[in-house]
Amino acid sequence: METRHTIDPLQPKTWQLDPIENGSEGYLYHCILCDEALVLSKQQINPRKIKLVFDGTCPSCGFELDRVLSCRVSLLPKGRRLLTSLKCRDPELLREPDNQIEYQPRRGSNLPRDLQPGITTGIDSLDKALILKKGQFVSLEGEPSHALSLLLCVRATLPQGLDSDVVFIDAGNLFDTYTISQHIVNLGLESGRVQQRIHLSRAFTHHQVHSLIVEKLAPALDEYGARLAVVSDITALFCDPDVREKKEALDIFRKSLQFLGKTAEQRNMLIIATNQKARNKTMTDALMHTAHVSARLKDKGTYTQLIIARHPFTPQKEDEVVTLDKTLLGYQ
Amino acid sequence: MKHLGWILDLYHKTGQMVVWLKKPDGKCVRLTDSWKPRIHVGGNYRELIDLACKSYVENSIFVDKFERAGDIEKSRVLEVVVENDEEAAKLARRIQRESSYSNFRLYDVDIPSPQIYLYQKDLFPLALVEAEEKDEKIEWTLRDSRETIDYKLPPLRKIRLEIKTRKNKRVRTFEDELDSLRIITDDEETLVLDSGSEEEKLLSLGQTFNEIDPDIVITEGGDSFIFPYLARRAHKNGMLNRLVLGRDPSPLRVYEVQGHSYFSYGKILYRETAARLLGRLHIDDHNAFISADCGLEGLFEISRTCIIPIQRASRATIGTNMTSLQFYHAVKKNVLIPWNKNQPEEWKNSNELVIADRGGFIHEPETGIYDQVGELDFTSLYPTIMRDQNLSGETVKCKCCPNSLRRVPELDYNICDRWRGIVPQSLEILLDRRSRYKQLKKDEKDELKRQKYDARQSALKWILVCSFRLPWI
Repeated sequence: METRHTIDPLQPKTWQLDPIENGSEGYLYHCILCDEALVLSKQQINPRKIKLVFDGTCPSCGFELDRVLSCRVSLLPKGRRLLTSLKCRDPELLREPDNQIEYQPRRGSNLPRDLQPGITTGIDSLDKALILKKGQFVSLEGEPSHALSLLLCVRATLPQGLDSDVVFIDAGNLFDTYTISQHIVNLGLESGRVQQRIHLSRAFTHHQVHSLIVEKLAPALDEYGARLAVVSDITALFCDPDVREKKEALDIFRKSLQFLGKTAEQRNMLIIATNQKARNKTMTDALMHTAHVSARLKDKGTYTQLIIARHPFTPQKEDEVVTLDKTLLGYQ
Repeated sequence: MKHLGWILDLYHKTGQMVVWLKKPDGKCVRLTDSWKPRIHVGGNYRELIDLACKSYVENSIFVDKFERAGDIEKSRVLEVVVENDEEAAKLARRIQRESSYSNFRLYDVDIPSPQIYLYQKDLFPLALVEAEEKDEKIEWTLRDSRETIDYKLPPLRKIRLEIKTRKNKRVRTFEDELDSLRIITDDEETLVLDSGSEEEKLLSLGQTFNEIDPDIVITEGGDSFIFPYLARRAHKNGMLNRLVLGRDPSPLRVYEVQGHSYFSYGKILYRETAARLLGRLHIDDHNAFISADCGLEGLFEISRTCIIPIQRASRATIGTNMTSLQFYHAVKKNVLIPWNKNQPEEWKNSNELVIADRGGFIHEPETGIYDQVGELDFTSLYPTIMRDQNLSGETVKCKCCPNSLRRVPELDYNICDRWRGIVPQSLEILLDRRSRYKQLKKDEKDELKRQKYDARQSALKWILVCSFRLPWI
């Protein structure tokens, strides 16, 4: 593990600096008017940064650093990398940040290989094919996907489900409390208790969807202890005709997806994003490739067809098709 | 040098704000104030310092502002001076892109600079002011008040402009040759420019504008056809540089930017790009909202009250006008205005949604036939409740007063006691003025004055209709 170097104090004036014999070469930033020594650093520092850290003026003579800041080569005591004036309010800001290792999402195939679903829908054929588990980011495409997500919201609160609260980001303005109530009645649950465990926020612009995902989701998961999060119709607002900056929308969309994938893995929770229809090929592809599990649901009039396009537990082959014996709504 | 007059028009040119004052003697004077817009960036302090060191972020300092309305403490944010509005949007996009859309929060990016200038200087359109030119700056002294309802307006010269083209097809196009121009003045005098070549007609239009020197130019379709057409014909005749119709010595611009369609309340609407005449007021009756319904009196009232330049106010929706008033209060309270509508609603559970989202209470009457039925009509019911109960996006469920005595019935949400909400604060002036105009109208015997007060109060009513929440929440 890398040790962090401390920041040492610097003598006030340049002529007060201790003579150094076997030091290493560095850079001394000082005031040319009053000889105040400001920063002595192993690395060169952008003078603008020094001006900002000292609030734009020399802490000794008060003149604007724009006019009086200068830099010259100087020696640093051995083993030291940064010395600053005692008048520097926040010397930490001058230190180069440690290189943080960015979290790399695991490949889906490295997820725990256990074919027992962590949460079920109550529809055997569907559960066997989907194998929904914690740690997955799941993409469900097609109109019936929303009905399935609402069913999962209620079942997630069951002790044999995830026994947890649910966070629902309504990006498609689709959340329906009446359907939720219907599921609660069908499962013989206490309505008030379950409804209180489903927390939602609605978005009306694609920027709000992004903000809900990257800024608001994590605190909500912490606050409610949720192990299931749903984002409804995730592409709808990004593809809204009123969005003028299409490239920016696509960048933000990708960023949101990466965040969802990482969150599912890091927090070992299930995140489901539904997409009512394929509106934009690039976005649909991005969604399919970021999600660990990707499936399409199609209503065929009297029954619903589930097509698994990508699953970490299923070897890469042609799409796996599962036919449910009635429509998804019929299972309510 | 000092000038006394009313602020007629203002716009930003790189590095300076140009303000046209209408003087009491009827003349107009062009003043320039050295001024640049600023955007603000919030985020981690270390990352902000790194951002400030980037080559593309010049001229920045740290300032303390409220990042959100209702915040208890101010935050340290980076203030970056930019050349103009386009530069602001370009820089904001670059900052977002280079930080992978996650490190920084951007503010004050998309507010038109004339509005910000007016807010900062505590001025408003058609305000009577004294302006003193000092070097490249202007010192303003307000000789007027937004609160007053008996304000004096300058005498404004109006003309109506119509054109006729030599149509080649059934629908007139930019390729048709100009046939004639008609200018109808205030005193119903009609000038027809129909002699000479197309170039001569266009040149005499410029001369006529110069001679009559109108303050207001009214058209029907000036945004969608008349001015873009005139610019196109002038371009075709190689004399675009000589076609000056505004007071500013810059030629008429060719409007290449298309208008845009948008979806609102179940309708697809099309908004034309505004054709502005710098230093004059172009009102397009086909692209006007407030003035179409409440006349110029209503338009001037909204422009003054909501602090929005007249040409913009005439084309803006009622929501945009209200938003300007809320922006003003945000700026005055040192609250930053987020770029894009990116603040989502607070989390609520499924039960709360049912209670909170059902709208107003409707008491179903028992079916039957009744006589002696009375009717009660509340004056500005919703805005009055919002003003009196301090209801605003940032005051409901605030973090600072969980035990506030003011609660939302049934939901028991607390309402802030500490912070006066931006929405109720904005509503105060609208409600107050409207009720005073209604009273004046009631007491007034002079029919013309009654009409004036009525136009002003109806314009304010339109604005009050859309007072539901902060536009950025």
